[in-house]
Amino acid sequence: MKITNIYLISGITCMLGMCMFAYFNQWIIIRLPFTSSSDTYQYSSATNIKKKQITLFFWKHNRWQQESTEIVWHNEKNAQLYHLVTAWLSLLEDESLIQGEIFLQSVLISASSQEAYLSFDRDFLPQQDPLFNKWMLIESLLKTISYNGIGITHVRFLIQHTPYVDYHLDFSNAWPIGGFLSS
Amino acid sequence: MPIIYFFYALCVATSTFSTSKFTLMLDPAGDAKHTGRTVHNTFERGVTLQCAEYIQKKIHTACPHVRVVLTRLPTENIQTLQNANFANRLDVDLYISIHIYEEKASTPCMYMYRFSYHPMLTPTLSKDSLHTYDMAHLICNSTTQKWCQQFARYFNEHASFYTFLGPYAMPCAPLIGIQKPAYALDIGISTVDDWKRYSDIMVDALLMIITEENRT
Repeated sequence: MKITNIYLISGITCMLGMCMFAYFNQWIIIRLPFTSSSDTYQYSSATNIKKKQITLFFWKHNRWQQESTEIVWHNEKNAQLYHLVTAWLSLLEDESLIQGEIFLQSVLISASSQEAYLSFDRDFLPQQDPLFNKWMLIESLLKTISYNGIGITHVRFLIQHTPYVDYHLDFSNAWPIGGFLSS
Repeated sequence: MPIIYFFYALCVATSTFSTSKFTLMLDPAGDAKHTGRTVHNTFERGVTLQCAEYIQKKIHTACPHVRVVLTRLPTENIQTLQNANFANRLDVDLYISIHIYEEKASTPCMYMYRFSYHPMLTPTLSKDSLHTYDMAHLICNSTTQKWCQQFARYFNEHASFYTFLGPYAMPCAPLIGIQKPAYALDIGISTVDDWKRYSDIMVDALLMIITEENRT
């Protein structure tokens, strides 16, 4: 074998090796035209996003208060809930009903599509207030979700993806969307 | 030797409880670990304990046959469901959880709660059947509701310096797992000694329930 052929084969195999390495490390992405891609999913999701007028509820001065605002509204329930609860938290912060900025970390919907899991980054209930105020804060969130027609029946509350433990209120079970005020 | 003392104490306690006509358990909020809310430069756990001890003393003076048990000592640490376990094992007749907060409004409020996790479900369950701990309150559901209305009526009638709100049925954590009638009172106090005024009304309300229960 000629020395030139050896150099040629070495060069080709080296190039192939580099291409394979780049492919396995996802530096090179091969997208076939007949398979669905994330871009097409994003495009279809984007087309389903629209603006929606929502009503947010909170308890202040011993009565229900409400405020309307516009948010982006997705088709998926978890995205709807995420934007709705985030808007509600912002309103509560503006009204000084919660201390500091609270983030909703994630929203999960159960397989039955009836139960939602809301995970917050920290405790948002006013611990110095009467138990009634803490309860009404939760009731106002449930009322907001129920009024805006998300289509779930129960909500579970979590902090940092672990069950919410409060001294006064029990969150070991899911809370019905109608709350307990009527009872 | 300590084992003999323990069994002696257990026998005395058992015999005492069996002869008592009515057993009331008072749960002052907080413990050695959980300070509770800040109430006029002190902690809720201290004020609730003072209040519970005061009620215990008053009831003991008025009705010596009534056994009043406190769920904790000042230095004790309470685990989750410990109080419910304690109350169910002693088979208490009535359980009251006392909570106190600093009232910022001009008129203080007093809230009353009973446990409920099932707003639509109101049957009375059998004590012998198996059920989850969050349904234990349904065993004495009818008595709980009856006494609740009596308490509420009394607190409303005597609401001279406070506003009474309730009774509300909701998942009140300190009451979970208790089989016998159990209520939580969240009391707003404007001054540090305000709890005494509430305590006198609570003693009278409790004596009314106890007297009526003994009569029946």
